[in-house]
Amino acid sequence: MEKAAMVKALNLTDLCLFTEARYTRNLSQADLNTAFQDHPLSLEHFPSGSFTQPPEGITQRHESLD
Amino acid sequence: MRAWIEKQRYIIDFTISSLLRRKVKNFGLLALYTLIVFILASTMFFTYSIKKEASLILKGAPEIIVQKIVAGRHDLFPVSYIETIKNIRGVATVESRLWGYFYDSLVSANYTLLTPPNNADSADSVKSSAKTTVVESESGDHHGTGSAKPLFEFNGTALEPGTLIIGNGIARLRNIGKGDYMPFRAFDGNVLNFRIAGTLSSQSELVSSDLMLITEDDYRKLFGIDKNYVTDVTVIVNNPREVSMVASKIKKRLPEARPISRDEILRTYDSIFNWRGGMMIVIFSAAVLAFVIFAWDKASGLSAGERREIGILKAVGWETSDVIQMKFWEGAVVSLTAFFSGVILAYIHVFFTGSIVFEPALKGWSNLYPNFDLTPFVNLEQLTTLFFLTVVPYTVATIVPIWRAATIDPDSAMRFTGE
Repeated sequence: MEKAAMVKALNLTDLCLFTEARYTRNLSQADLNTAFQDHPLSLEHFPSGSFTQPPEGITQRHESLD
Repeated sequence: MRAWIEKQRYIIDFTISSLLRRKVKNFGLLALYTLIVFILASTMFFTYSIKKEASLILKGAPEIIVQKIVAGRHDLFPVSYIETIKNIRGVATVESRLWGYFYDSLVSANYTLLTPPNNADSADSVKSSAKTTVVESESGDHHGTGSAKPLFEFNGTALEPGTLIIGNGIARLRNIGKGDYMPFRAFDGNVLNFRIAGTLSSQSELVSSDLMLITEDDYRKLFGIDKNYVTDVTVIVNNPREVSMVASKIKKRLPEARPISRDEILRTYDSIFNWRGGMMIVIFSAAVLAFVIFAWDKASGLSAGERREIGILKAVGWETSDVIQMKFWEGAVVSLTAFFSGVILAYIHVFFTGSIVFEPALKGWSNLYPNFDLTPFVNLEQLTTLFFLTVVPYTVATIVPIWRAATIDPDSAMRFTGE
């Protein structure tokens, strides 16, 4: 499978589904406050945000790494 | 048994001709019903295939990615941290990644610029002798591509300084290809002109549509990133069961680091398009609501014409059970036709037309959208659920009022007029 080989070879982490914002392009790499990226009360405003959820690691952790 | 089958055949025959007598009403009903099944089945096919495809494709994603976070945001990762991570017991290799985004104002699109792994390594190549040995001994397991042969030869063209390999989405959007030049405004305002050495295949668009492969030196020149920094690092662990242990050790030694494990990446994509997600719940609730109204309308009563028809049938000798059977077949014919045509149309829509109905919503505000064909994965469990949520309630909903009408006296049933 070409896509899987490319992911392995290029160390890719995400699917190219939504290119409109950096945190939707690389969903799993989004940082902790992308939803408020412009200013503290700026809510997430990209349409693809309504299809996706925050990265799993942010909402449900395996264990607390802090 | 034969007589029973014959009887059912006659009843179905009668049912179909009675359905055809009220063509407009029944075709309208069928179209609406098919539409509801189509939307629900398309959503199911699409989300399930994306999830399945993501889990297969991203199996090869790095085991752990370590980012540096400053004030809640990504920051460049100091190369000096790599040694700290390498010293953690259980870590096999640490590779740096150099990647970032570039906004092309000409077409208002975001590109992802990435330095292929072999190129990005030169930052820590001075101390890479120990690492190389590990990579070679582990090459069968983790990096089948090996470190000796150039990874990014494309149609025989290697990625050289001053060149780019671009994803098919970018080639389509900018209408460029091999041999063309692409100018970029660097961080200091200088314009850098890159030659396109090749394009990534269209089959891989789901992961590479907006990718641009660039050499390390060019990347640093474009964004003004010092040699002592990389974007983030990937970590390969000797024993896959120790991933979370290694991740917590990284977090302990480098408190500002944020490790992301492959498992988390996979779970992120497993919960993508979750039904709780905003748009999904809108689609589902609209469809369910439409269906409820639909079934309610059916269940709440019969038209005077239908009542009279039942009265006549009973007067000419039909039994109550025959009338109920007829109406059962009516419900079954309508709902099964709608279910199967809805599901078949949804299959064609998702797997052959690239989900054309969903496309405007999925594209959002992005100008660069991958054209990808999903591998057909169908979840039988979901289809069965859809079947029981649509066909069964509808069929049952048609029977109840009929039973009520069929038990009354034919004479009074026929007296209902005013159609």
